[in-house]
Amino acid sequence: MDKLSDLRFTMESCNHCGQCKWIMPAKMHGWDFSEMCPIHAFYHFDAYSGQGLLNIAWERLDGKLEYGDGLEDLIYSCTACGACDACCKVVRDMEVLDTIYALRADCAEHGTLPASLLETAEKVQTSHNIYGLPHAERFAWLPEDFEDDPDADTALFVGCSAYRQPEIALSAIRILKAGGVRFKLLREDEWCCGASLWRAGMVREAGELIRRNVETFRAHGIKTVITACAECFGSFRNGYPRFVETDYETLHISQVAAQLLEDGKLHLRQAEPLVVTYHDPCMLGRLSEKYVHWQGEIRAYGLHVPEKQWRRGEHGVYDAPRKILEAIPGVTLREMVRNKECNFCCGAPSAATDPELARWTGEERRREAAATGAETIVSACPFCREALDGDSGPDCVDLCVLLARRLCEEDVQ
Amino acid sequence: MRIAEHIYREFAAVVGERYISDKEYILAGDRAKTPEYPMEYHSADIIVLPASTQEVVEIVKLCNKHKLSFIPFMTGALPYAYPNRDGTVIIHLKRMNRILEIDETDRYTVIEAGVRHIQLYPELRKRGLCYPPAAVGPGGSVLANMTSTDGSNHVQHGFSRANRYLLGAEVVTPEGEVLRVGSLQGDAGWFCPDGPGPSLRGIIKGYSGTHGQFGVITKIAVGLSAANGPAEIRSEGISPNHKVYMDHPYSRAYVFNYPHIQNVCDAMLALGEAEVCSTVQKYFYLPLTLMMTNSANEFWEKWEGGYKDTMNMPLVIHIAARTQKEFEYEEKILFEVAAETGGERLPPELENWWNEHMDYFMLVNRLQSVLRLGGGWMPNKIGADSVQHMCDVAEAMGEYIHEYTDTGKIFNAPESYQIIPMEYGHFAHIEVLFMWDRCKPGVMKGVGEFRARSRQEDIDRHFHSETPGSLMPATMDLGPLYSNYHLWLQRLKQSFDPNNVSNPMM
Amino acid sequence: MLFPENREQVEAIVAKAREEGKALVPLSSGAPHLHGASVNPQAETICFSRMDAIMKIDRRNRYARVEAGVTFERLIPALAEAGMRLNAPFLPRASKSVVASMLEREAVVVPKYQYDYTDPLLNVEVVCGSGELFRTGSAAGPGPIEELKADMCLPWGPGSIDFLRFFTGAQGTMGLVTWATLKTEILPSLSNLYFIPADMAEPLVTLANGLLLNRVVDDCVILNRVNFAAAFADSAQEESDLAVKIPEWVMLCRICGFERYPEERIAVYEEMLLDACAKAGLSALRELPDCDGLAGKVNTMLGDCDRRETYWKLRRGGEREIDFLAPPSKTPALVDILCGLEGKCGGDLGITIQPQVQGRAYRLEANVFFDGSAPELPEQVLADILPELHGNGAFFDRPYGAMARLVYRDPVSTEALRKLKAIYDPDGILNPGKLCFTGR
Repeated sequence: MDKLSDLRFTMESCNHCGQCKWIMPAKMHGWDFSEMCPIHAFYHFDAYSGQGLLNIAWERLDGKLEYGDGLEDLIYSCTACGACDACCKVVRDMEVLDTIYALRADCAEHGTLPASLLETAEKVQTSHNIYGLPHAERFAWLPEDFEDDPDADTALFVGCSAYRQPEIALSAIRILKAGGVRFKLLREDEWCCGASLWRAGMVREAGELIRRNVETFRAHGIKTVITACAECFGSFRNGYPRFVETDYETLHISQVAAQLLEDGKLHLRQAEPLVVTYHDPCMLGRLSEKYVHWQGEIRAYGLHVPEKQWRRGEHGVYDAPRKILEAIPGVTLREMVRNKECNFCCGAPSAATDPELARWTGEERRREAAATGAETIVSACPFCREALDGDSGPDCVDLCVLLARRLCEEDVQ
Repeated sequence: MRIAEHIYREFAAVVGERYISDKEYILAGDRAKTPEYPMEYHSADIIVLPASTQEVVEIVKLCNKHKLSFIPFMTGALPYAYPNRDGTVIIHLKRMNRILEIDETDRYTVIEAGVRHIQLYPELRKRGLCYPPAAVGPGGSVLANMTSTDGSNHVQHGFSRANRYLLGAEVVTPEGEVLRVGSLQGDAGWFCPDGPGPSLRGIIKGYSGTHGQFGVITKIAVGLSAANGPAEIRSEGISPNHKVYMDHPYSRAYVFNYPHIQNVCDAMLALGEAEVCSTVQKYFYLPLTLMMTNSANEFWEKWEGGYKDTMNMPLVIHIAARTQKEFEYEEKILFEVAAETGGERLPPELENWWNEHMDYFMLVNRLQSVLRLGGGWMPNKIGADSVQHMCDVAEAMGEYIHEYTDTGKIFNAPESYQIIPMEYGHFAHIEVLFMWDRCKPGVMKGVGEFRARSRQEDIDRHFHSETPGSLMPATMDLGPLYSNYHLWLQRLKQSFDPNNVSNPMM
Repeated sequence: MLFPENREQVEAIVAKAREEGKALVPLSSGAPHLHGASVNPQAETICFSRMDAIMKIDRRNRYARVEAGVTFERLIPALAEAGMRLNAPFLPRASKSVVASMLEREAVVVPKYQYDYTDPLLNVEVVCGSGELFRTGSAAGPGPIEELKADMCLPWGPGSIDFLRFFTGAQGTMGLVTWATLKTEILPSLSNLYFIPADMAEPLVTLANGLLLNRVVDDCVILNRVNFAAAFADSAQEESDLAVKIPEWVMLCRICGFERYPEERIAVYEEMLLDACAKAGLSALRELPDCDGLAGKVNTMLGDCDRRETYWKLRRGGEREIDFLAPPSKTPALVDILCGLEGKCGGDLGITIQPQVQGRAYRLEANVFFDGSAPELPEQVLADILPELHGNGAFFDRPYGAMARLVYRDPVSTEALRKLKAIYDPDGILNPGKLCFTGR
């Protein structure tokens, strides 16, 4: 993980153009749904934004700001959705989100983490899941007759969400089985992916867990990790390489399913028409690009030597979920204004640290979804699904679940 | 706490606890971080986020009562937006962000200060209307842009400058009264900026902006023109490789490279006389290369790989016609003028970039790429007069800029200036966007030398290549040369802001 | 009456007036003085008719610089000789000062060229009431005007204040303008004139709005029968004859071609014009029925001033007018209110509707013509109609008399104007009592 001192060039480069707060012009639509940063839209002060956090980081780096008095609450109200980063990087060579990560690491280093995050870390360390539930129950939902392929070099990593939303994991299994994919589950060896640690700046704790997980993959001979959780997916691709060399490929279940559909290996049944909108999870989309560590020299006029591989949100997983939705008979997809690399966060990442903000963000996203006329919001992340489920308006279903429900029965057998 | 608690409470009573802060980390979000501007910055004491004109009125009155200065604030991209003394209240207007009215018949829209270009422009385009957004980027406040920047824009060949589109206005005066300007003053709505009698609109915006020195402009009406082309914009791809199209058979961009600025001058005047093309601009090749590339490294590759030679003097054209006949007529004249004036059309792979980035012509998008090289940039001159005069200014610059570009004091792009005609060639503005390596020790000395030289050369040559700004040091220096402009500014300021609390730069 | 010959004399006059506490009333040209200009018996009148130099005509950069006393009858041909035209009011009085007209923001005939209400006025040199000399826009400097290489055509500034706007519509209360730079346009090499008749004004206003939004036509003005006949007839008899042949309302518009492919340009925009007319159920005619030869005459007169012995508005001997600005949506209703004057004022009612600023506003002018020997027009009738117009969206942007009382009711903006006045004319010597300013 980069430290604040590694990111001074970014801090000094910001000129407050405001691009980090607003939707990219290519997606221009109108007055509504044009804000990109949840905390800025909610709190309004510039300090609550990518630009503001760069200012804060700079003052922290130069010893001009101290923790206490609420600074840490501000830092952790941010959902770290990366909207600021992607929007900024349309036109700039700056690492806005990495600076926010570094600021969090700085905060953690100074022992001023919010209590809710410390609790989560404790749960992950003791129970290997974010909920603090017994590790032995991680796969309690698995049908007794389920058989995986012990020789497979592909693992389905079900993630902590399987505790609360096992239907997602079950659906993923149904899809893989129907498509004839050879895979196995890591069972008791599967621990939390560590997203809540590394994204919170708990560098030491995250590093230990990540190294352990990578070793586990190696021990199981895993070459490909499939996940139905965007948080896990983004962590494996974007978080893990910050700590350790990785030698496995990560695929999201949507990528696998889209390929199976294209190859004619999945067959879908007719069903009632359904108008849906698709919510791009941040960690599946703009934050899932593979992290490649860069170390070098920034020469005059921004020349990076050696050349840096920038992550600008271009290579997130955007098409696969849409291809699946387009393939499901009866389903009509209507896009929200803020989509793909310009998606608006669901708010889930701040649920523990700033529940009011998280609720507002989810509601704002639901409002946008409802404006499309969709009956159902489809997402591809259990945390988004939970955050976007409301009492009225469109319901929210996981992509995996929707697809599995539409599989022809004979395939599922 | 920077101000006394009881004073803080008075402000909090106006906006509510949620919309005021004196926390250091909140103030830090709006502290200036632009070391390249030679100004002394201070932190605000508090930031308030009013939701209405009435709240602004009460805040301003409190500022007068407690002798606190105030600054109306939006994006913060300009250095004038930051406190230059202690005891300052930042009045952040972003919560006042409503589009109050779009009148398609009378062709104006009424907006609050917090409305951004990215919000307003597409709303208008849906209705077949538009205005000329200035070159501040999509997230810039339309009101701040119209009132506090020079308002230059990239469609001003046909549209003219933002000045022409600023109609009625509502202003909270430095003493906290609501001043209604233009037809509003005569209870006749928003459509006219002037009168009754002499126009108070003059106080709001001259060539440059007043930057909040004469109160807080809370609402403005913006005049609208026809937006040729489709109501909806089609885009493809994922950032940063978006392509934005104007799907219209009679919309097309062209780029010609010229051997000399005087040839460009002839072309601009000829196209203006014929009243053809919606955009005509001699663009600056350094920002252009930055816009066409996705990283500093790619920039360097393309710049050194030939862009700086292939398009060192580019004239960018956009035709947005309504009928086939009009399109053919305009294109015929364009090609004729280009041939007469020595313009050489760029190869399709370079020219097509423009056709695939039509958001540039709409929202001046991607221009923020000029900052990609990491800071150390400044627009210079930014004056305006006739097209010919601006071209003469540019030509003269060639006699001294090499002392700075060739020696590495500033980026080696001696022809990186833009000249954009207005009102079909009746006038034009010039902007020299120069950059420097801000990480290089002592670089500011050379930068300062270049700026001073540039200004002095123009004064010595009797060129009107810049206009005195709002900052008192610059104004004091230049005022006597410009009809004692500074004295009038002082008198106006003293009269309208007797307590000197409204962004007191003077 | 004082007749200065140059700026230095104007400066001396102002200095003396300040010293002696005498009021000064500026007149730019000879009688008759319409639009509220009047001689104040308590004041010295300063007339600019001797400052009548056409200082510069620049074809390449399309502007002219003229002293305050230059009249339309001199400037228009001088520009034509250089291949240019002035975007002037509709048939202005030949002896009228161009600068005075522009300072008053009078309506102009080519709205597409008008980007702002101050157009085509670009900048001015002014001797302020304080006695100081000032130049606006890019005429401000750097340095003395004699050395300045700029074309002095940019209207904004200098700096952050739009000084020019303080002097427009001011009726000489802020300063005495000695010269002005004016935006000029290419003289058309070819032009097609169209008459678009209608029974009512409303469809023509709607049509003009669409045409100007799309920049289709060049000259554009809408006249009722009375004003059309008054403007284009050369005598009272001809006026009566013409009035019976023409429709109730006529929009006159021209499409011009310039130096490159003028026929093609006209063809492009004529197609759009005809299409718009067809959609509106209107016809664009090249001639009015039974009016042979009129088109040629109108075409010539549209780009000129009224050179006839008697100004068209004064043929009957007396004329009173009301003029104001209105947005397009309010214009038809305001025309109806003006029509209510018919029969109440003892004379014929002429109405001119001039689209301005690319069609985003209209200047409406009601002209009540009456016999010069008749008793003075009942001012009360005019005074009665003003509140009704005001209440329906009329903006009296250059108010005289009763209009001023109507529009200067907002204390904040009125006080702001008085602050301006105190800065520019601290002794209150310039045209006292006008607008919202106190008399002496």
